[in-house]
Amino acid sequence: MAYVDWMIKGPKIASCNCDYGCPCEFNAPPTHDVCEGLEAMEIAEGYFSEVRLDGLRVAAAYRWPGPVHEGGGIVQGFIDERASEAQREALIKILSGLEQEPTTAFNIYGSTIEKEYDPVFCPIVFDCDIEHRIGSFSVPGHLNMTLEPIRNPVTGKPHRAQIRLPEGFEFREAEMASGTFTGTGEIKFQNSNCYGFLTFVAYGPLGVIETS
Amino acid sequence: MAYVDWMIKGPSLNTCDCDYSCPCQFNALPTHGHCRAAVAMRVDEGHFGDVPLDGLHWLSLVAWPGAIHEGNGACLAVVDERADERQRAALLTILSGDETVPGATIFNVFATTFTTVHPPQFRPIEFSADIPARIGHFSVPGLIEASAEPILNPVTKQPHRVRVVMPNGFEYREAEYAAGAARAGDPLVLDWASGHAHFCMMHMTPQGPVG
Repeated sequence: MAYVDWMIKGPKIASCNCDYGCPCEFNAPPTHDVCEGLEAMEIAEGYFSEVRLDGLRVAAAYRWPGPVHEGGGIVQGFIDERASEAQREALIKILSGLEQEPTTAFNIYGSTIEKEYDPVFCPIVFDCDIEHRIGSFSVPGHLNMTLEPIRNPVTGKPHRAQIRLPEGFEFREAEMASGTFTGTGEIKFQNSNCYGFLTFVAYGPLGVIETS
Repeated sequence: MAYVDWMIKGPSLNTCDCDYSCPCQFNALPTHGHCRAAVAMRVDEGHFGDVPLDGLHWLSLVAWPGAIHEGNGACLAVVDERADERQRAALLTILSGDETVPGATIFNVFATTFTTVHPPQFRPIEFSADIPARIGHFSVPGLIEASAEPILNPVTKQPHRVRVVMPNGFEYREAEYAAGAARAGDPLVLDWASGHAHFCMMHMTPQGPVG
């Protein structure tokens, strides 16, 4: 099947309520059964056909009652208010899993969602330093997340660990971090010192595009 | 401080009773609140001073009542019965964390957490590891039986490939993660059918992993 030619590439940061490392990345059940979290991406470079998407930011908040693959999830998307009408339409198509193979991250996660709240067009503040495992993003009135290095419980020194998924549908390589976040909009949550990751990733209609 | 010049290099297989991925690898608490594990290695290439260690196996059974760093652990080292007296002493010195920069190797770090050290045993050890395929096994007749295989995706049932990289790790720089099983009796009981496992090419010196 032919898809619209599109690509988004840039840093992505995320956190969920699982313990550091997130068992789900290894196909183990989530630490606390419930899976809730959030993520944001800054599109350093991107396009949807002739519509440029460079510099725009997107975010999402979600919750599943159990392991993601068992479904029943809720999600809400957030789109940079600086996006034009054409850009908003393009980003919604990408994030909703349209114009891409069913094996892509947006499609796989999308297939587990039971309820989707209306997307919000808003300012998204985004900052990250992947190498140093520091990052944050906020959507005023909705979401706030910060990432910092995991610390060794004995020495207090930063602990550096990367997960590499050679066939991963969400990322191929990510730096592990400690996340603290709140959701105060439609999807409410509050968690601290739990799983967080930072990655630089590119997606297209066929899924993750190798960048390095 | 000067240490005896030693090096061991070869495949190792580690399994514990945590869920796949083992939270401890990321400094989270163990899945079930405690930790029980078994690790084995085939030294393809190795020496301790002028004592060659090539071709020898070793394994270690370990258990802690809580997270490893909280201590009160127990361990049992088993050294290949084919090792001669000097080789046995050399391997036990390495495994006990001696002749090592403090904190540089998994052996040295773990040694500080043991309150029970069972007398070492010298036994035949069977070991196999296909790291890219994530398939492996080790055993000592009458003592321990352990194996590992790929994690399967719960939906597609396809093998799930995932590696963990630790640029400053004290056990490995890069490991293939898998599903593991182990069963052992006295003096250190282990029993799980689908826990965490990882494979790595261990390459250890007094200064820690090479690379």
